[in-house]
Amino acid sequence: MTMRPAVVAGAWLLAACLAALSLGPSRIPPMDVAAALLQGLGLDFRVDERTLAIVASLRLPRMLMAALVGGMLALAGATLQGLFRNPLADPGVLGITGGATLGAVTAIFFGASAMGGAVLPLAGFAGALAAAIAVDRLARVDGRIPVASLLLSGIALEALSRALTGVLIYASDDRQLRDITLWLLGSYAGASWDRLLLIAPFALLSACALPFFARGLDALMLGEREAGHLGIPVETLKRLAVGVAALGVGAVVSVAGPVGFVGLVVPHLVRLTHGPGHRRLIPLAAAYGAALSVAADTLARILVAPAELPVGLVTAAIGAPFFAFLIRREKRRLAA
Amino acid sequence: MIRATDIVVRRAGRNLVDGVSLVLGEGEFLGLLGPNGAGKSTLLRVLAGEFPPEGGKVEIDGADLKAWPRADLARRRAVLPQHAAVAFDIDGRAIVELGRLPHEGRSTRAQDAQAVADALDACDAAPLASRGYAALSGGEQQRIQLARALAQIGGTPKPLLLLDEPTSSLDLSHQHAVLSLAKRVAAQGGAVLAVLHDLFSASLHCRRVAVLERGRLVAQGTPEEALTPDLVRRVFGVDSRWIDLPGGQRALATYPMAA
Repeated sequence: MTMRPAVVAGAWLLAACLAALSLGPSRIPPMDVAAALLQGLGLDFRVDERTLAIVASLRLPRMLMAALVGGMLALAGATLQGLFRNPLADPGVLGITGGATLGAVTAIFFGASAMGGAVLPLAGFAGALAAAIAVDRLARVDGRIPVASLLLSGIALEALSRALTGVLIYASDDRQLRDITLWLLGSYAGASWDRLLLIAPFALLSACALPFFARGLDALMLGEREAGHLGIPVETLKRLAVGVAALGVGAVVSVAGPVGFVGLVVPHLVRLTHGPGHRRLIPLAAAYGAALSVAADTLARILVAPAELPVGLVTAAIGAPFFAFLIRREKRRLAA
Repeated sequence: MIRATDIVVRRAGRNLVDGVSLVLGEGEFLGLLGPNGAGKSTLLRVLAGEFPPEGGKVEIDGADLKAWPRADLARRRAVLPQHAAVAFDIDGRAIVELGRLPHEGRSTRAQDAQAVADALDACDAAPLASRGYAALSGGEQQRIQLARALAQIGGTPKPLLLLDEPTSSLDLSHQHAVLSLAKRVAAQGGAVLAVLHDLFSASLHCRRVAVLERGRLVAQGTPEEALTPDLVRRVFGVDSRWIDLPGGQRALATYPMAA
């Protein structure tokens, strides 16, 4: 990868992060943000307590959470699209998002707070892992996992999770219902250093492992048989990549809710501008996913200030039209 | 170079390949012939190591195919499958470059670039390299895929090339060009096995042919030995006659059976 696309992506990410730290109900100029960050590291820049608290305790963990979630979802989306050789795949189709949702909603139903504590992320994470294992078992035919069978199993599991989630919602009282609904819309409002530390190891482990699959995913563009002829252990690649993606997605979905479209849209944008090669696609998707997620969350916080929108609504508002555009474009390509 | 012994492939209680033994030596270009459903592609997939056969074994250089490390095998032999659909918008050159994947870390950038350029030239595909694969015609896609396979074995001593109907979408001049290319690869110390349908070009270009019928090997040898009018009539359901071509070459012409 030449350095230039990486530099451009880094610049976008940095700009989104700076904006996230300085914009909000109270505006903090970028210079003060930098001073507050340095002061947080132990240097004395004589930043007042209030500014320091806003930047270091409120906005910084939230920004990092938004970056982690968006980067992880885009990374997983790019990997799964490559694995399924299908541009419309995203973590949702594997049942992973559905499993995490069911886990988290179950926890809220039984009294976990939607805004703090470790129970919710752990429950979501457990749900995601259970879903990934169940899909793997369902989809396996004679020790192999055909992609069509994997997709169908994922869709079936997603539907099952959704139905069970529906049952819980139906049985909820008003307070539970509000918590569940808020979580389902996707939000980074529950971000805190504690939660960040809870999910970061899983997400970072997954994010560091996924780029190693780039070579195999490149070969898979030619087809599964062809990738095998090129010496790629295709079945192992599929199993590992799905597992690693589930780990990361499960972790981030459990704290942020199912933030939609980032995993679908970002890999596409990168493919449109930088080509389909995964060595470039995977790191760039992570950077742009993080940037989009941070920017969307900033919008969510300032659009209706002092209240805030769930970030899932903002990403959906950006993502849904783009999705429609993709389908139109695909239709035209198929018709041509 | 490659030896298959008593290969049996069973699917749904039927033997798709039924006790076939084949040897393909250095410098040979073997045409694998037979009507639809005779088991040609299945046999080729077994030789390529895509799945283990229910019976028999495949050896390359005397070592069981199962014992070959994936990566070593990928540098030694390339496969051109029948229908190749490619995911995502990708141009011809990028596809050919993927053929160099098994050589990563072992060949220099310059060697890779040379192998890709040579392969594109050999397939008359250089003008297609910068075009999107999806926008190419079937024959053009086939030439790009063949170039990809050639790039994979570029620079490899004693390469093995397995081609499944490499000429099925090609125009006439490219059909002959591709088969001449296969002959060249064989002449330079490689071994080529190609599944072919056209008895005329097979009889003209192949050093040896093997004929499959319902999973069994029914004839093997030089084209003139193997493709007798009797056998061609029985296996392919057409009449045939050897004809002389300019330059002293001979080829098999076929025509519908007399009623």
